[in-house]
Amino acid sequence: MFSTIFGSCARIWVNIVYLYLAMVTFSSISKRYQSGTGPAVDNISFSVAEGEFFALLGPNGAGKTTLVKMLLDFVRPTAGTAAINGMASTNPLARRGVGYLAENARVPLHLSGRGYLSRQAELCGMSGARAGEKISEVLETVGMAGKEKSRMKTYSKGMLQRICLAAAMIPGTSLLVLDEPASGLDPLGIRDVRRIMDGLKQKGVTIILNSHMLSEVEKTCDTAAIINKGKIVLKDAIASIVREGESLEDVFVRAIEGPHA
Amino acid sequence: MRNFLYIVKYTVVDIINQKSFFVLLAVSIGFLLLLRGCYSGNYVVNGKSLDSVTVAWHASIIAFHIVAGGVLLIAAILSMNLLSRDRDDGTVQYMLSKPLARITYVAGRAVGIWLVSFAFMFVLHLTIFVITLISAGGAMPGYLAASCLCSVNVLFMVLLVCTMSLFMPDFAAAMVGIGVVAVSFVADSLFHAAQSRLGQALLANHPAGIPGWEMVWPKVCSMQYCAVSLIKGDVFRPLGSVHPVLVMAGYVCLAAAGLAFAFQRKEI
Repeated sequence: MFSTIFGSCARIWVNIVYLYLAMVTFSSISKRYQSGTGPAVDNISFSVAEGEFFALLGPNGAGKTTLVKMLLDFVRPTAGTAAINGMASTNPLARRGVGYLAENARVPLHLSGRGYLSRQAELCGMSGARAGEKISEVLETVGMAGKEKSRMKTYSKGMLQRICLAAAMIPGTSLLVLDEPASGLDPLGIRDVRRIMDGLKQKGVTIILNSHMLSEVEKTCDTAAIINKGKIVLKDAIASIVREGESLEDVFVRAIEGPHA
Repeated sequence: MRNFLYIVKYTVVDIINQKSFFVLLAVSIGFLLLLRGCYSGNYVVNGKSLDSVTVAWHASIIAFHIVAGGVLLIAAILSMNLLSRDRDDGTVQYMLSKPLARITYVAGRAVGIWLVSFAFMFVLHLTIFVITLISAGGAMPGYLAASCLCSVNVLFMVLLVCTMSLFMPDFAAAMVGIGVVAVSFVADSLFHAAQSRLGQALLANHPAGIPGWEMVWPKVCSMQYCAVSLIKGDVFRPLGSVHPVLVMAGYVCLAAAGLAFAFQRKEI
């Protein structure tokens, strides 16, 4: 009896400590679109600890982007809550220090790369020399230094992706949410993005990566959650879910299609 | 507050960076400069020749109405795709991923469009004011104050079209805004025509009451008549018991609340 009580108390304490340390928390979150047939996200709960490199995996339409959008308050959940650093995602202050790279790199093409980044910096409370230094630093990091004065309508898809990644890094970032960061990049660009993410990981930045590139995820991420039809079907450290002699892709296929796939 | 001002600045800068904006402004000023020809003509009405100051006075007031009405059209066109364009080019996502309240973003956008439209109208009215001053030698006190009063109409149009664009296609939203203003112009103009001596004489045997919907309809045109009364120095007689300034202030608040509420619930 004592061991049961002790076990329960220990679990509660572990959960409290984990929540305290968690950078991102989803609590019983669900989303049902009016136009959709079923729930896009169905009663999902998990946390991402500070400094963790977390991958959200799943087939198209699984609910990954909806989950990310609820975290950033672009979409309101039907039930449940999302929180950043213990602050409800509906509070704009929760997004202080959060960088976001959207899927498909959409930008206002009439602006120059530097103009776009200046606006990002201003909205994050930076101005003058501090903003200039930060912009130069992120441009250097993504390999766009010297190309930032041209209008973005002259950029290739890969350059746009890089400038968007630079924009996501502007807030000085404690949390980085990346939705398909390697989309549209050539193999060298993908390698560069991996290096950038590795560098951010070394600095202790928490990263949530939404990606289909399983080989990259396997190389870079600590933890992965596989989502299918709005539910988490598998979530654990990558080192513990990928067995000897198999790849993350094998784990992914098995999780989505079942053990007999 | 600082982020709100930044968004206003981005909105204004993005519009005035478009060459078409300045082309439209230059063409409009060019048309207004043609007014100078009116002042040098010899006009005879009922056998009496009119002096140039009287002609300038009437021409300037007609031009005031045309400019104030035309700018409402421009405001509708500028506002109709403001939010959908931001959604398409990712601007709304990059802005709202920052510690920025939705209401700050949408208010900054709407105020930016209003400022540009108002500045456009003010420049055109200023042009008429200067032309009248130089060509006819008569300043029209109250002309620029009247222009400022009409900016309430512009703000209403911007807020209405932005709100409507959240529920319907952009072009339909602009049409709704223009339709509301057009109905106001017809209804209010008929009322003001009925107030004239000729109108009173014609309606003497058929006293017409004011329909209920006219009392509550946005008084865009009455607002312009009210502004013109500032130029003329007349006492303004409002349609109904509530002054159009109060009616339009109420509608501006209503449209602003509608926009804030609808955008707060909008999925991005």
